[in-house]
Amino acid sequence: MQGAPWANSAHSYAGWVPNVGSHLSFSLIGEAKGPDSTSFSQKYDGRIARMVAVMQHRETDDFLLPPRIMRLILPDIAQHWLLVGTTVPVHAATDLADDGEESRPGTLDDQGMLHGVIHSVPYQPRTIERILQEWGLAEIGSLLRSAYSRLLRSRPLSDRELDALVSELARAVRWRTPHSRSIRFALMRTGELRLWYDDPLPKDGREARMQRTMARQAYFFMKDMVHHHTHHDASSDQITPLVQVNAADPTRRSAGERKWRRETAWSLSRTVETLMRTKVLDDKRQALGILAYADAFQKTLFGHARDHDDPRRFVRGETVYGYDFSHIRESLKVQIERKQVRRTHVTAMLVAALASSIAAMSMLSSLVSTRNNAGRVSSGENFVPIPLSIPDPVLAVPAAYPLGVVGIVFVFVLLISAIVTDDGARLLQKGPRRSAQTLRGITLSVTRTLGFGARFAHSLLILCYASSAFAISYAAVSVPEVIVDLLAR
Amino acid sequence: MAELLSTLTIALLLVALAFCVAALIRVINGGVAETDAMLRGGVGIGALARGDIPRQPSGASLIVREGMRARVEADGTVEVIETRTIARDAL
Repeated sequence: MQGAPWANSAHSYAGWVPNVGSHLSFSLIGEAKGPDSTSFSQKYDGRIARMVAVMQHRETDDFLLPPRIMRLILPDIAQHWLLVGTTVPVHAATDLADDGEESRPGTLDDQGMLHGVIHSVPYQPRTIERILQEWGLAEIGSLLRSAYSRLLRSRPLSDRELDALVSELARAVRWRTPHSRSIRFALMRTGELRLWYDDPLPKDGREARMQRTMARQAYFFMKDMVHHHTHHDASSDQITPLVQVNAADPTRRSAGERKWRRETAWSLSRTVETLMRTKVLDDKRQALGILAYADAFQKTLFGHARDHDDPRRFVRGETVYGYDFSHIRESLKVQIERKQVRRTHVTAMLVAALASSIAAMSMLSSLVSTRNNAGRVSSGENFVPIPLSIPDPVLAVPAAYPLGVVGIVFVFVLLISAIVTDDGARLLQKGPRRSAQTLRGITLSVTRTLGFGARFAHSLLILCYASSAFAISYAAVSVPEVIVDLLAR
Repeated sequence: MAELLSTLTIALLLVALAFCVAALIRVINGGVAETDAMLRGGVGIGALARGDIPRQPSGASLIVREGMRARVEADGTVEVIETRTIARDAL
């Protein structure tokens, strides 16, 4: 069905690609996604349309060991994903009919929908087939890069060449990567995404499970390519759900149309509430950001649904009522303000404590020095000076390596920033914190084995970290003497 | 030489200390509630290593993320395996 190509599929899904502007830019799909992505996008000259293609090498990083080691153990964690689509005219949900009125088609947007196919190329364990598959993937990458280089040389592809490129990519996928799996997609500018298979959901439970997994991964791939991850980690973009909509049956389609909107709104709202409950200031700021997305979703997609008799048309949302996010936003702002005031106070206290310690040491040093000098003058050789006991290595090492002192001071500043930002772990390390995950996993497993509860697990984890911090501090104090002794032998 | 080694070792230990203290603060801020959510959610060393944290019900406060393994089997069919772990934002 033109304008709603998923409407005849008995196995389709709906989800939202988060955006606050409600006008996704299809030309930015796949842009600035790093060296593992190759993308190309160009407008047609003779008609109002755009062609978009992106290929990305994706690697699952859901294990304690880093991917560079995991790929040696489980090479199937890496797949190639390819998206090829062209824009088509579609009606946008404007001018909605009132109760009792017939649904209206809305305003026609000439490039309102990106329509195409997402292919996933699995790992091929047999060597010959793998070489052929990699050859095919290299050919696809080469097609995209050469088209892009023509754009850079101001020699864009003609409309006929663009159509030929779409066909060539489809041919390369079909013949060079015969084991790839495909799912069709339609992405509206509002962020509404439809994914569907041509065949109905298989009866075989294993095959059905795999198709659902593939659909969800295609959704994550699409979100990763389309939007910039502002309020969450790029690889954790699973705040909004993909909901199965049984499009072939009008009654279930109607329920599905309401369901995916409701579940998206609930999911956003739930994430905001979860982040609000944490004590971390940064989480509260993220909650404020996600609230902006929830507001945008509510304004653009929550107030209406597609007509179940004709999915190209829209009707007002009947059974869903909107959220009033203004109160949550006000509450969040107050929480953030309180936290900020407290944080400023703690920072000021820390700086004051540091400055006072340095001043106290200087004053003590000068008092001892003055007293000793005065004593020597008045009492002569009988005078016993007060020694300022500082171990020799503590003075000798910094004196020998002043640049090392600069490094140590730098680390101290890092440590203080980790404390005062209340979420220093994220400042210090952006990737997955594997050592923290390992320690957390061990303490939880031990607790479960012993049959204890969360308080025990929490105390055990704190004890582990506190004892580690103590051991490291002790090592830092004693290490100069140990090294000097070792080298002296 | 001894002084240089001492300085480098101290610098490394201080970096380790910075990470350790930051992680400790993160755990304290998360509170017992966060640990409880993970305990109830089936998080353990085995599940984290294998990447098979159980799927969480919709009301769960533990945020997990999903990945995928996919390979072509000897008979030409494709095997797709779901993987799940704790979201990076959560830990």
